[in-house]
Amino acid sequence: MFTIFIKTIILYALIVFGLRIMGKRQLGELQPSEFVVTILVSNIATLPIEDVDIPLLAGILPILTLVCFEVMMSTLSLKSRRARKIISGSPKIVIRDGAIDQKQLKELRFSIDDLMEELRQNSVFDITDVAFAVVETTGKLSVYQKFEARNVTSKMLNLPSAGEETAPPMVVISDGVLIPGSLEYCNLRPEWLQKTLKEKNLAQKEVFLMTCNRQADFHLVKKERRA
Amino acid sequence: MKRFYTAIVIMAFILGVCSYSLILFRTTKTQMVQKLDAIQTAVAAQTDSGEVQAMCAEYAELWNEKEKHLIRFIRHPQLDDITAQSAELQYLAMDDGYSHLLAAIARIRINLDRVGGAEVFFG
Repeated sequence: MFTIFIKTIILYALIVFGLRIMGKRQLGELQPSEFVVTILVSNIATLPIEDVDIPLLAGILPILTLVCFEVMMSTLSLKSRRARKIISGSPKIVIRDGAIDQKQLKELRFSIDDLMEELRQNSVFDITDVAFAVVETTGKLSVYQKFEARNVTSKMLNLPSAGEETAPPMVVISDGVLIPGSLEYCNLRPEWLQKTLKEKNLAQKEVFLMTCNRQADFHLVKKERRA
Repeated sequence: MKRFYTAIVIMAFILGVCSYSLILFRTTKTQMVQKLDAIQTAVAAQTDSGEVQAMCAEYAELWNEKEKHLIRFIRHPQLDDITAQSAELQYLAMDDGYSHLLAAIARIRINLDRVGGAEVFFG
């Protein structure tokens, strides 16, 4: 049993290391080659864990080989456009000016239901509103709406930009603990924090969450007392 | 590019481990086959059964020693078969006729060839 325990820990560390080498991607955003590697790695890792008769190296070597090969292929596809096309494929336009390219849909084996579902996920409910819809190499649909169907933007309304002040709020205190660097991000001093907490009659450890932006607009959530 | 070079280094390490395991097995196999040949020659020369038993015991001891290293690279059931057959040899050598001993040696040779075959890619 100890063998299984140790093998599991080693393989866990190895897979985490392997995925770190492969880079940060969400499952839905994986390229076909990355998807294949992910499935294979998860499958191979279980073999030496389940079967004590299989040497640990028989699990480690294929996992590392797959990860390294994937890194090499992704580097190659980064350097060469042709390699990128072979490994990852190319994006395909499925809707042009509101008209569905049925041939392309058939080639992609995309049903009309799939297309409509993807459009709805992009907040598009009417195909005629679509100027371009592109199936990306990850299988996701990117939609470019016609001008009249697009959301109004500040650019369209010629609104002036707020510049750096539009930086999002940051967590300053989480579960009573001050997040390092958060006050510097907000251009605030620790004295400001102490004064603010004093005004609210709160100690730092009584704060569940405090967020703040660069205009010193803050939001405080007090810790709930345990019953 | 840092990841690429890391991958190259790991790949080189993997190839090193693969080569080491192959060399280790081939060296072991050569040694074991030589020992088996010597036992067969002794049997053919109708050498004293005590001496044949000692040779078989020596063979089993050497195999056990080598198996400890091989077990890190090769699936255990394949090695377990050879270990079990190697352990039998010295007792089979006690029989008047050596047919069972020779059959066990033949089985060990086949198993060694099978393990070796699995270590090299033939498609």
